Amino acid sequence: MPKLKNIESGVRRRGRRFYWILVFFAVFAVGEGEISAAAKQSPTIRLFPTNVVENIKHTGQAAKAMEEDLQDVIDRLNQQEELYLASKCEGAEAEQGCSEIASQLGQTYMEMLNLMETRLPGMEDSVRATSTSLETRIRKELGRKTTPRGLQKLLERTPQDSTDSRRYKRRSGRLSEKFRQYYKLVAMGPRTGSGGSLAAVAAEIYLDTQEVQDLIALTRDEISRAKLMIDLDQAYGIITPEMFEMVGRVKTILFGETGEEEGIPGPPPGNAKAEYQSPLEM
Amino acid sequence: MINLRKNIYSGKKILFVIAVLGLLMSSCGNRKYVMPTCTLPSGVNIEEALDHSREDLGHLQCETMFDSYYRRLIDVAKRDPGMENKRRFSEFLEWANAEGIIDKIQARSYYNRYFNTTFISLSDDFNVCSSCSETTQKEIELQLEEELRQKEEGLLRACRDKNAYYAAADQYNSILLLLDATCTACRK
Repeated sequence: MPKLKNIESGVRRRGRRFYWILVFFAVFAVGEGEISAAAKQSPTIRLFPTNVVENIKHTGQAAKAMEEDLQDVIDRLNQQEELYLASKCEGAEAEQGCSEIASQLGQTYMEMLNLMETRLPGMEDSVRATSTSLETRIRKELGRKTTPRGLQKLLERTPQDSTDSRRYKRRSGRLSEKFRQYYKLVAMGPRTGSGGSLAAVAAEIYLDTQEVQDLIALTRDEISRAKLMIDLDQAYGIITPEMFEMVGRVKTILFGETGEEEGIPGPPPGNAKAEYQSPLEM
Repeated sequence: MINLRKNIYSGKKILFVIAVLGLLMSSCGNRKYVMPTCTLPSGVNIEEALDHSREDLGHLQCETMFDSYYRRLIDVAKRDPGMENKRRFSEFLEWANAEGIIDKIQARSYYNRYFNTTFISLSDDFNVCSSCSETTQKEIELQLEEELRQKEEGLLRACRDKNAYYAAADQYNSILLLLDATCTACRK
């Protein structure tokens, strides 16, 4: 009897061993399949998950709402400024006509400051949210997963259109229009499969949001300072260079009205393929 | 008698030394030990300049001057430009590698720096975040700038390959943009 038991347990043990060998091979086969499939695919860079795309969309909408609110008041300010300068009021503020223009200018300026003060915090939150979400993705996908050479390989994978060589140039113009374009690019990007250009778009948006955040912070400080000065001096009617600078800064944030830097000129049209390929090429 | 023995002994010694020296000199095989003149190539004909460089670099004494020869050859090629120069330089570098003057990595570096759009200054060893200290990033940017200048010499001036050069310049811009954004994100 004990002999029979021994044989029985031996068979069971062998059966169990066979079962584990089967499991091992099954796991190995599946694992290897996954590895080879992953090796065949190029690394996926996921820079624009839904939350980032939504943040970009929201920032565009916030910028548009702010632009619409401010457009009218800035137009008025521009006209009054032109009139003030055309009437040669600089240095002749005591004259009646000039003091009237100056007073109107001061009121419109105050109106602009109030509007900005109400709108900027929301705008700042939206830009910050976009910046933070993009920052996390860029750090993870480009910073930690990629080598410097990998960055270039990513760009090389993007088909180059010889007529559109300046695609990575920083976009200028209205903030809302910029973000509308960005949204269009990233919403369509994954379907076109242009990983390299999407990486460049992500970099561009991220650097833009950094710049806008700095400008907003600076503008908010300036608004507080300007309002304090007005409160202290009851300065309606006194035109200061800071007022014009302030209006300029607001325009920069909203409408991107700054001098543009010239990039390296693009290639002449033609076939971009080299005729000779060296065995030393990397 | 003793003096005679001494003279014979010292004569043998001298003969032995001469024999050893003779053996040493003949053991260097094909390498020429005639005092070579390492004169850098000049002129306006790249084929002639390449032949001259091959001749000179065949001497051991000139091998250490490979970099100067290469730079001078680029200068000559700028005066004798053409798409063919890519092939000429590639073959020259392969020859130098086969002769043991430079290794494969150096050959690749020399070729790609001047004649390819790929930027060899970008490392492939560590991730981008580890190259993001302010000094390292600045160094990479300077190296990229230097390499773009070399590509201008090679692709644009020596080969007249405008498309390739502008593609490299375009890539340079995009790499700087990506590097700037990624390093800003990594530093936060």
